[in-house]
Amino acid sequence: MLGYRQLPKTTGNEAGRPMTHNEMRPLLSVRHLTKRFGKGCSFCRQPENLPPLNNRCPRCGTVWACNDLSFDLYEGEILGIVGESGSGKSSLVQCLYFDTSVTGGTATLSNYQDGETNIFLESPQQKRYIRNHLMGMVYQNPWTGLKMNFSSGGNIAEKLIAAGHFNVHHIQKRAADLLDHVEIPLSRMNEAPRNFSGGMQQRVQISKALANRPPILLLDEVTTGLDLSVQARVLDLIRRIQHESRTAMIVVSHDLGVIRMLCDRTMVMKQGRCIEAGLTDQILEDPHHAYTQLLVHSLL
Amino acid sequence: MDTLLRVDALEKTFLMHQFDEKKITGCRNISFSVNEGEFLGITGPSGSGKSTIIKCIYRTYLPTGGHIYYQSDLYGTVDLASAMDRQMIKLRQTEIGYVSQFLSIMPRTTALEFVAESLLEMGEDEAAARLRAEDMLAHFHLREALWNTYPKTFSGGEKLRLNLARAMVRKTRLLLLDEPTASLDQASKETVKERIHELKMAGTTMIGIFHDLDFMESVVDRTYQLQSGILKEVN
Repeated sequence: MLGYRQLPKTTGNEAGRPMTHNEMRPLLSVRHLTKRFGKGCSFCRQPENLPPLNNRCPRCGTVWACNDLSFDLYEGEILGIVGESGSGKSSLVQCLYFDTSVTGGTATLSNYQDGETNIFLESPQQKRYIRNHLMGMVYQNPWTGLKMNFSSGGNIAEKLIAAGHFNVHHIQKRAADLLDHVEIPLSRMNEAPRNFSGGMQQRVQISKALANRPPILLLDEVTTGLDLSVQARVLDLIRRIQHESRTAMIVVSHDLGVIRMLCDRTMVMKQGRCIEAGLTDQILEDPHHAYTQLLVHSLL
Repeated sequence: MDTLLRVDALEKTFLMHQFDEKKITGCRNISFSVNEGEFLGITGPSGSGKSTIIKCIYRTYLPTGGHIYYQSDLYGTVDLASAMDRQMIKLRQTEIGYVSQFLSIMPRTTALEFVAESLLEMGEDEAAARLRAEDMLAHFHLREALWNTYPKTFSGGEKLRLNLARAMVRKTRLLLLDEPTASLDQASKETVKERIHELKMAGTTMIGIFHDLDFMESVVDRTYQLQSGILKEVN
């Protein structure tokens, strides 16, 4: 049996107790995730042969976008992934959402087959099931995540139908609720997101990703390129979602300000590797790696 | 009395990779302990490492040596110098508070929400959190007209008082105070003092750094002085 469950709404009065077994157990556990673009050669298949600050093999030109990444994501937490362009952040979330295949490594979900199956090795049908029921993804470019010619409501319906909801009434109501939640006027529910501003498109995309109440939400540079007031609105929405539904999120950003505002824990990536991980305030005030120090000291 | 926190040979050095791997010592060989319900003051000149100690306890800095044994309600004895990040997050939400003189605000969050949020984190329900937040804003004499506005445009003093209201609204087991009164006027200092007394009555253990020695003497039980890296108890 596949273990899909709806997330309980938090009832308050629960922070003051020790972590339960479920809280101690990660929702998503990734080990040794590796993604390479190119064939690889006998030289670069030994990761230690790659030059320390370069992820491109000097012999065959293969790029190791993600190199031996391991981390855990727990229920209700926001994990930040920060790094410069080309550090492998987007490749990482695309691997997790099966947009691209991994070269190696494992990922398990505690609410999928009891956390004993490497989801990267599942069949395409099972991967679709995981995408439709257990994860949501918000892309930097709304054109990737939305069907621009569908109506906004239709985009949400698409996700709901994929997740096995067929009751038209239910779908309409859920779509209206979601759009309302992200502050899209219901009068525009039947309009195509093509007509919307960038910030509105991003909010429609978030509502679509949330439609099936996924326990895990992946957010890839969702505020990049938005102007400040719109960015604040999207960040506000993300915090509200986390607060209300305890959705676990991975927030990918090159913007330390966004990471500081949203994330409890942060992982710093460079050239496909995780070079540092810790509490967000510790990463920002006591960075250890040379690159993180440079990054923090470049912060406006 | 039971010991709540025992710092043992704490050491923190910063390695500056951008500057020829220069090493800067924050503090070294620091040992002391705090009993439950006690208020411990730490004094010393600027740059002597007082804040470093406080930040190591809160784990904003990762200690490079030594141990910080904390008697937790949830976990029993925890070494904060090496506790898991997840454990640290939970302890910060429920047991260990931190007040500094700097306000870090969230965009599009009103003063009232900002204070209430800190109670919601601890698991209090929304209505109760709101009431307590209002009480606390009133206690720190923040004008009612400002409660439902965004703090970005507040005056310096208003920001300071809002920051204190947020940090001191919760009753944590351990409260770390990093010069919270540094730029406050006399009247505001009195309100801080009142709140410290309330928290103390409620059993909160506190460690504080103050530059204002008169203020410190009126609130602390014991004082340590940090002089060129050495911690000495003062009577």
